[in-house]
Amino acid sequence: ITFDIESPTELPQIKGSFFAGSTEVQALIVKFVKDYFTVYDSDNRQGLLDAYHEQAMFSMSACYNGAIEFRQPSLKMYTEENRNLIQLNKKDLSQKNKLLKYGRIPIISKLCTLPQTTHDTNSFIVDVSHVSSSLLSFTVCGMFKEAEKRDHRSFIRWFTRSFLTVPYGQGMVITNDMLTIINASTEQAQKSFKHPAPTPNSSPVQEVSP
Amino acid sequence: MTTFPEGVATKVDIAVQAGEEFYNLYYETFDKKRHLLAKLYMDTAKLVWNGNPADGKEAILKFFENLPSSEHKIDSLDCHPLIDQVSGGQMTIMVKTYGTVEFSKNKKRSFQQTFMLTSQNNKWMIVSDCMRFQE
Repeated sequence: ITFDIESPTELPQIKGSFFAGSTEVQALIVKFVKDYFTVYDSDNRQGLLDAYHEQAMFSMSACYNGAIEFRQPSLKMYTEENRNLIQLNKKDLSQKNKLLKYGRIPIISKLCTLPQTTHDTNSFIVDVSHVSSSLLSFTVCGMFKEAEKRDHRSFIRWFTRSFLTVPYGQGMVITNDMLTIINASTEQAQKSFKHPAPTPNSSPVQEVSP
Repeated sequence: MTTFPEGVATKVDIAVQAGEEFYNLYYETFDKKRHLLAKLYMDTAKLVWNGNPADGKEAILKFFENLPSSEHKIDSLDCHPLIDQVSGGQMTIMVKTYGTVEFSKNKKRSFQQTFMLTSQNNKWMIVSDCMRFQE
């Protein structure tokens, strides 16, 4: 016999992307995310200028994965831009201000200096948290890898990016963009960047052993 | 050095200060006195928890009641103010956190969470809350 105030131990089922609002809103966000990351992964991020509001704000933070016990890839290429308020000196407001980019040109300049990337769009999860006629708020989570450089290897990492957008013309522009970069877990790294499996073939698979 | 127009600079400072106070308060309340979270959510607040939506304070609190006991540790925090065009002049901020959480009898997971908070009668209230495990 037990008591009825035992706390639950099971977690609710983890679900895929959540879209609030109409199918039009969903289509708008899906297109926006696709377009945004296509340009972001290209060799010219200046093409994102029109995606931002004149008074937009952007900042990024990078952090080691707290659920991994073993040694992790370095995040040193993000140190200078890291606006993680837990790691910054609590009293140093000027540093906190400096790391918040305000306006389209400072934002684009900053985006252009961040490492070249390839995102795995198959891994993307989009959660829409706020929909109204005047604003949309949503978060994109997923995997990306940095381009190989002479001075560092290409690592697979997890990112989460929270966008706040307002309607503009037929689409929308970003007023707030918050990016956080975290090292991927081993399982995440293994299952990302998998191309679709080839169509099954009737001929027996030839295995070559060394 | 980024120079903000004067009104923006003040808002940025307010956002940072509020975010730094909020994250400690929020996760401590979540882990130790979860029922008191009712005081932090607006009646019309929205939650998306790993793709599960809950609409309104009552539904959100009910959802939290069914979660196992928890222990959060926050490793990263960032905050922005909203511009007037979006907030309609009402002081509103975004707070983004990253950290780990252990729900009773479940493995330790890392997660991100994004909040929108607005000031009502001189108190910060949660407008929306979006949480996602890293997996």
